[in-house]
Amino acid sequence: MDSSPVNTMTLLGLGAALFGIGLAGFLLRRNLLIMFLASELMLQGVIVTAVSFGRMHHNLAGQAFAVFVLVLAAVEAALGLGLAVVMFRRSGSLDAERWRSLGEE
Amino acid sequence: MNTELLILLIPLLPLLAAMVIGALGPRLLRGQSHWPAITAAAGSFSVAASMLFRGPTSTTLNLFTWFTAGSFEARVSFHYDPLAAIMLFTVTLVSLLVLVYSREYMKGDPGYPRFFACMSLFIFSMCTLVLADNFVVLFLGWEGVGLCSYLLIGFFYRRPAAAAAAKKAFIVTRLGDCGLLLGVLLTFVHFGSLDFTTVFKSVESIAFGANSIDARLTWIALLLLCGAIGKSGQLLLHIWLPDAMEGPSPVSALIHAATMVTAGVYLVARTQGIFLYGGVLPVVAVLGCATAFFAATIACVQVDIKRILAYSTISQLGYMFLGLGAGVSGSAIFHLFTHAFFKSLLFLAAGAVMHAMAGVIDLRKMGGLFRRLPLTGIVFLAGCLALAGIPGAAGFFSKEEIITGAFRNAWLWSPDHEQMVAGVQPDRLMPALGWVAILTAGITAFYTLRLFMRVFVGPEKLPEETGGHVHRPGVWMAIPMVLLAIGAITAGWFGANLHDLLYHMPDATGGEWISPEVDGDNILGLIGSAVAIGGAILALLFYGPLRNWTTNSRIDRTWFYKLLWNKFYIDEFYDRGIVRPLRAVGRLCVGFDEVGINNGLRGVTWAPRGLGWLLRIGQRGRAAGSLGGYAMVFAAGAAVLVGWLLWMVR
Repeated sequence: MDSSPVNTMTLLGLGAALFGIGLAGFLLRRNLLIMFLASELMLQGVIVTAVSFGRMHHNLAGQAFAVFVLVLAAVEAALGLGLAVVMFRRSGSLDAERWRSLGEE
Repeated sequence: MNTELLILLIPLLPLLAAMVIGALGPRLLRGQSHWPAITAAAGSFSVAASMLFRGPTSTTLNLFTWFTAGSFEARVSFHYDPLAAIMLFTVTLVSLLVLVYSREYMKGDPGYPRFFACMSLFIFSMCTLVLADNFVVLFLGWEGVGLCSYLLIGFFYRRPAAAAAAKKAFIVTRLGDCGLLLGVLLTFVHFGSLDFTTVFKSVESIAFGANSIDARLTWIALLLLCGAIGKSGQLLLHIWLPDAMEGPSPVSALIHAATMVTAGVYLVARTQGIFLYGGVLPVVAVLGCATAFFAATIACVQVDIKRILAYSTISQLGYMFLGLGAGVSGSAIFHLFTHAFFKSLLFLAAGAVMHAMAGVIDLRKMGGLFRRLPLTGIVFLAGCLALAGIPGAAGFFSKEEIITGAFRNAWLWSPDHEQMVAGVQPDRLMPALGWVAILTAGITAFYTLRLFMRVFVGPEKLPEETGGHVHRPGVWMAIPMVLLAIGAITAGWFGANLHDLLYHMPDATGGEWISPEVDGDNILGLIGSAVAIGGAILALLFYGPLRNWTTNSRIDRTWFYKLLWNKFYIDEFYDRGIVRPLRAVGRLCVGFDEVGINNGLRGVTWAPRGLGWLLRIGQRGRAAGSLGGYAMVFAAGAAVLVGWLLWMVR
């Protein structure tokens, strides 16, 4: 059945790499927009993984998940970008470390 | 109109008035709020009077079923018979006169509509109580009058003393009502019904079959007596009545002299079969006699006019209980009838004095008011003569009947002659009670005349509060007082008519309505009147011209005087014995709640608080509140979770 030249392990590796890069970016960068892009990257990693597993098991569950996650990501992007714009207007900066009002003094 | 409808009108008119005043009074009627009340009372009275003069009639009115529970059916039904007729006549007449009097007395009071609404509601409750055909409706009326009494004692609710007195009256009578309720429940348990007719028939059938007293009846009677004691201010539960004088004077006149406090007497008279066959009549007699005597002695030294009258009411109610206990219920009801006239008169007159003295009621601060208030003085004197039992006035006839009853009818019709009461044979006990009653009549005359002389006779003395101006009662106050004064003198002449009526009581009321004969050559009548006049003369010697119309200071210092002044320390006894221990228990409970329960709960709350404190450490320092910090913690947590999952599927 496995007629494709790409094997499953490669695809899973690609997904893990995307997720890892996204995670590293999210944890290490301070620019809000970059962190945002990093989180998108993580989502894509997860989607690739889900689709790979679907391909491996010969069903469409993984692709269905992918569609849902894409929709959610789009919605979240709209919301998140809106928030980012508001924050930028308030403080004139996109440095995530400037916003720490949740913490204890 | 047919009889049933007429009878129904008697309680319904005041209820209607109460509703009208309650709904429209504060906004619309205001200063005219008395009109619905007076009209309704006048209507009720004319119906009651016309029914009374129609002669002895007995009818039962089934209105509707209130509720059913199993075999128990609570029907709202009225029963009209001569006893109810006399009670209704008395209640509606005094109500009408007191309402007319209140029109002037209460004028300008901010609670004017409230007063008349409560009074009308009271008349409704009292008529319901009297007309009840079963224990349920009776209890309903009983609690209704209790409620109105509470509302009206606390009428001046801004005064702490009035609020406290209202609470005291409510709680103390509730103690008795607890007994009454238990008695009613026990009646249902034993007889399976609460209808008077059914119950009394069962009582009679039980009594005629047995040769000894039935313990079930004894218990029921004792419990019912508890209710009567509470309501009628008999010994040991009388403490609420003197304090109830915090209410306006018309309230004292109507509720705490003429009507509500006699509900206990009515209850015992109505259920006398249970008392008779339960062998509880001696208890009633001893209780009544003791109350009459003790309350009369207390009244001798008090200085608050209304409180003296309150103790006198307790004492006279004691006489009624003595009459009931002696088996002359008819005479007890007769005394109730005459007492309603002269005592409500005395209270109204005291109210007029209080009105004139700018609210002062302490007789030490006044004196020689007769010239200033001649009309009030005359009617007050009429009431005093009736209360003192001076021959010819109302109180004399009824009191003599009760005393005669105590001597003559020593349970001649008791089913168990050998019954012992506290080791005394009934035949010896009753005359002893009779002698105490005669002595009490002397004391009554003494304190009554003392009251009259210290207020109205002697050198003139006005309290500073009046500023020398004495306000005379107007027409609205004068007319009811004059009418009641006529009643106070003449009511006693109708004893024979009253007994004739009661003679026609239907058989199924348990027991017979015996009235003793008080005739001209009655030696007891002579002794009684001699003692009463003697008491009056004694008062004249003590507080009269010989003593410069003031109190005798040598007597004031004796221990006996102090004992009476402090009312036998019964209030103090309750305070030390019940109120303070209860409060201590309350404090103990609060302490336990505070120390035991609250601290335990506080201890429990320390668990989540401590956990939160531990977790808070992660939020301190550089990571505090930063998005990166949270992301790091989140990632670490996710890593731990994934690690744990991997370890699990290993």
